[in-house]
Amino acid sequence: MVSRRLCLGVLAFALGCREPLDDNLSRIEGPRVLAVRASPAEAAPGEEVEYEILYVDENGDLDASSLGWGFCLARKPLDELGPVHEACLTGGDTVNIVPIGAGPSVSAALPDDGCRLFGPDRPPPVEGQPAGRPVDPDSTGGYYQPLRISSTPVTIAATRIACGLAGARPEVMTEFAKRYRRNENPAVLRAWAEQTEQTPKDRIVVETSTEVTLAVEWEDCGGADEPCTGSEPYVYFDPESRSIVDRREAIRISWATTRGSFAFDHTGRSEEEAESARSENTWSSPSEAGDATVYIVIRDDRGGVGWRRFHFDVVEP
Amino acid sequence: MKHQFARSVVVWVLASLIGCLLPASVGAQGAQPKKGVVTKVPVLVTFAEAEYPPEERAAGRVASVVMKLSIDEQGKVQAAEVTESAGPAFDTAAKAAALRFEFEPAEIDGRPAPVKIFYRYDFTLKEEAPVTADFGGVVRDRVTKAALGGVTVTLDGGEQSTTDEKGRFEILRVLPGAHKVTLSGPRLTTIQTEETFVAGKRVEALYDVDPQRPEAGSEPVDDMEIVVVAPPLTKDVSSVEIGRDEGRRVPGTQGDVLKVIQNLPGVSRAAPGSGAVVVWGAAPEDTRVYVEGVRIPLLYHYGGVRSVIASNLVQSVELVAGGYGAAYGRGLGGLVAVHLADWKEGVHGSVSMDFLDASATLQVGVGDTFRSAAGVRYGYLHRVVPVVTDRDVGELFPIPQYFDAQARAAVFTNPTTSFEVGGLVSRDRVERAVSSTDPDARRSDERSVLWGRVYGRFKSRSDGGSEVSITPWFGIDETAQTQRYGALATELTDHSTLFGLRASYRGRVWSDPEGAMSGVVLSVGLDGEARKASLARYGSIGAPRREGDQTVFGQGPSDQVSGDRWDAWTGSPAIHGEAELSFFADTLQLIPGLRVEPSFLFASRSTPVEGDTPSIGVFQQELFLEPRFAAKLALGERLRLRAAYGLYHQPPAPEDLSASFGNPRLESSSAHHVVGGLDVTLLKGLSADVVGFYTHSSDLATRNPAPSPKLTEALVQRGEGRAYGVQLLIRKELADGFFGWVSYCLSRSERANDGYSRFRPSDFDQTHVLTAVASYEIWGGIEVGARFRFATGFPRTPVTGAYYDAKSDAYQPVFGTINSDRLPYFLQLDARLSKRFDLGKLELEVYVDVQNVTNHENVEEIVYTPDYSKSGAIFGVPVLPVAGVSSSW
Repeated sequence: MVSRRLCLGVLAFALGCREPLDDNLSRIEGPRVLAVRASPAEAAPGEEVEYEILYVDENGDLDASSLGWGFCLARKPLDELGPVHEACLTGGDTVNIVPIGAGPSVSAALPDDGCRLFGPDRPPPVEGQPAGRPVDPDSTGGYYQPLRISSTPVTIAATRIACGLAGARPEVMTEFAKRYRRNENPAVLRAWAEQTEQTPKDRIVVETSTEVTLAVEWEDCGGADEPCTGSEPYVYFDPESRSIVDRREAIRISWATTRGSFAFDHTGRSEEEAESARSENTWSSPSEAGDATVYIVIRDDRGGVGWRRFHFDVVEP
Repeated sequence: MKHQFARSVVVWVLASLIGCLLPASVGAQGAQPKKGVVTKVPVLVTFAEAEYPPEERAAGRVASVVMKLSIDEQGKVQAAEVTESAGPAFDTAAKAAALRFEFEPAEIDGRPAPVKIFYRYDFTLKEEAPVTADFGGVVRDRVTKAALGGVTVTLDGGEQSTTDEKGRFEILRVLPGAHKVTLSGPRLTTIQTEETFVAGKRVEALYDVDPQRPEAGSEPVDDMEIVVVAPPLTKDVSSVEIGRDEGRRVPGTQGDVLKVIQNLPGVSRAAPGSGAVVVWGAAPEDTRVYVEGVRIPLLYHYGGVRSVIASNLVQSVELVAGGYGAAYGRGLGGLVAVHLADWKEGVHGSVSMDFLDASATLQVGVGDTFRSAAGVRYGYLHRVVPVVTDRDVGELFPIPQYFDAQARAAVFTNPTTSFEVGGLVSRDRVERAVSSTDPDARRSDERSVLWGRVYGRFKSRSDGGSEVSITPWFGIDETAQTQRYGALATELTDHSTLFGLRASYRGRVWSDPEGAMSGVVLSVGLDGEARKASLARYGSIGAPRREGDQTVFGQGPSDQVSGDRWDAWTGSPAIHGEAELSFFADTLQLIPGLRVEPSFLFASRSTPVEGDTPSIGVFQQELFLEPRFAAKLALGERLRLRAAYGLYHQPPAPEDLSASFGNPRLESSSAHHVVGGLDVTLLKGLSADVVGFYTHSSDLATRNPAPSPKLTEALVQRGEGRAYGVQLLIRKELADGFFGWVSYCLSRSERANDGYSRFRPSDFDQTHVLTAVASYEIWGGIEVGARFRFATGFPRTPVTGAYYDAKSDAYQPVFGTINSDRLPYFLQLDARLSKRFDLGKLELEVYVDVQNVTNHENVEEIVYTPDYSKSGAIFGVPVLPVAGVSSSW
């Protein structure tokens, strides 16, 4: 995102100026995790899940063999406004962190009590007291098993766990169970550089200090009831109407580059714009010749992830 | 106060001379001026003000007298002949004044020459904002009730008046403040009492005294009893009251009287754009605002840009930071009392406009029986800003849209009994939307509040001086806020209906000036209030923010969502009483009080909605016995010591009674206030006031820190708070065109989120707050003023690191110790320049209010890069002039 200096000269009540800050997150300047993918994207407690990580630095993909993985079993208190309990951030916590392996990819079965720790099932009652409060879902109705990865800084990933509903009438629960389809990881269906019509399969040649429009497309899921790697339709239990409503996933594209810069860090389509299965961004090639790698990460708002790479040869004109 | 308005006459004279001289000189009569060409008109250099005939002024009559003036070669007025009479009284006064005029002589053909001119002298009456009070009353025999003439009533400033045969006395233009009153006379042993005067108000006293009775053979009666009826209201120990004329001239307030609250001791500097009133470190919602006894939800429109009541309808605003008496309750923090303007006779009005809004007021008084006043204001900032600024401004900063109106009318069945009805309404709305290519970065924020109050009031003062007031009121509060952070939406609506009743009696029940206990004034009353709130809330459980939440500027709320719809009833009919016990000729005052407040609370859902489970409510009752106590001790003429203690309770906010987002079993929270201080009269009109305070709050609702909370305990009542400090006010009251004050507060406001954690600075803590205000009328209606403010920065929780949240592709902050860091200090100098033009019956004021004249960069917030590796600042307003104009008649 481009920094702007904002000044108000007229409002007595409002803030005046913001210091310009380099808030360009799409430029890779050191070791960074760009994405963590769980396959399948949504699984029930006890089911096996395979995890992969996209770990990069300014030279491209980075060896992730030293990264350790572990499930975090600490439930977040209500006064913690971040996504996880602070215990999930601490390395060496053998009580709250259950190691599941190391390397660029690991596999493990989701903890059996996920729906009770992080889902709609009430925690076991303490003697003499009523059962506790279930975890509230996110805005797509999902519950998530947190996962800790020992990168620097620490990475917290989340796996959507397939649980039931909390507080719904039996017929609503039945309908939900019948109609709800687990999330699929989204995927970049097609990506290309518009000026060259070249795709990531190619090694794209561009001149220095050139603006290139990169475009991505994902699968148009329409109203299909089949597994889909685009903006999937799904059913959602609306806490306001206490009924099931039909929704569609939002798709968000994260752009990152080892050299050059992007006009925007993120683009995408909101739920209301889901009829469009395309997004684009402008990449400015570096001023000096050399290689550059562009990473395109696609996410749906139910926790699904996919990614693609572009390789550029940046040459002098 | 009505007085003769002379300056417009001078203007008229200069204008009229040009039109009148030539005919006079051409048609020279009497003095036979030389024929020739007038090369210079006579110029009035010494104007003599005519004495306004008292009977005409009392009757409110205005008039014009046209005279033919004969001016000699030296510029002296040799004769004044009335050509258009306005009656003997006006004619005589005008002629007497005109004969004292001095002119630069007229010149004909370049040489001084006698001339005749026509001159019109206008007698006009004009309303000016009062700066003094009037004092009048009757002295009579306590036993026979007969009027006592010849009694001299003397104020400590030397003003005096002697009672006539009806026992009446009258002293006008008394400076505001407490004054000693001495009664003396040939048959009276000199006795003394004290009265408190407020600018623009009249103190009407009835003194029943025991004169010596020279009956033959009897012993002289030497026990004097003085009964002062209509006893002055005893101010609370930490009370500071600012009148309209002072308040509207304070720089930075843009002429808004009620904004002066932000400059008083004990009030923290509000965060820009918040308009919150933080008193002694208490949360803004813990401070109650009353307009003549009717509670209102907000003192300012959104953003704090403007108050909710037109300034011309306000007489004064009073801040009681803590330790207030038994008449008020239901709040843990301070008290703001808005006193509406005194009624006026005739037709008066005002129109004001500046960059923010336009407003108008109208006051109509007919005879002695009917009075009315109304005001309306419309804010158009949201229409102006898009025209003069970049579109981003509206996206990043919510521009308030507001409207308010007030109306009241009263019928006086006699001078001391009135029936009044009135209403207040205010509406606010802000909308903000931030567009982005990133669906998660799209933001929108819509908030609105509509509230209204309707009240009736019966007020009566008996011949004995006791006062009775009954005020029933009804109101609605409707608030709605919808915020979207990407796909995460949060919505909260509250439709509340309120009922209130305040009734009070106040009167002197005992008086014995010579005894150890010199008097007892009793105040008793009923303060009832009930509220039915229907609420709906959906979205993040982390929004809106609560005190103690660890977030950074711009950070979205927790992505966990829930929903609930519930009703909440709260109510409490409080009975209160206070006895003002005066000892040793009022040297010592002890004011014990008690407030008995039974309270009920009903939440419609005891558990979150689950399937078809029927709604089962929670009903709770509480009974509060709240002792209040104040003591005042006068040490000599200039020094007074004060102390106060009070126990206060506050019902939970209806929005906290949700089974999903709050806790339907919350009970009232409580606070103890301990206040002590002294005030010293340094010079006449100049005083110093020092107050130390300590407050302790308990049972505050905070977020539940347990990883596995009980089903309906998103909030728990384990929070504690305390605030302590000392504040200083050195104040010069308005006199001779100058007023000002310096206020300083050194304080600490702390919170503990649960009973076991250590106290830490609260979100509202500001260690040092220094404000200096001064305003001076230089000459001819030109006023200059300045305000200087220094304040410690708000506490902030430092960001010590970050971690990567792969699900949202965003970095999340890792926080250090809560509120262990601060924003840099705030420093700002504001200035105000105004000019008042007197245009006959119309007064016009033009002003420029310049904020931050030194363009000091005040850091108002800390912002971070997305990975929290670097931080920057958002600065407050740069130098900012706001011009406005107002007129009144």
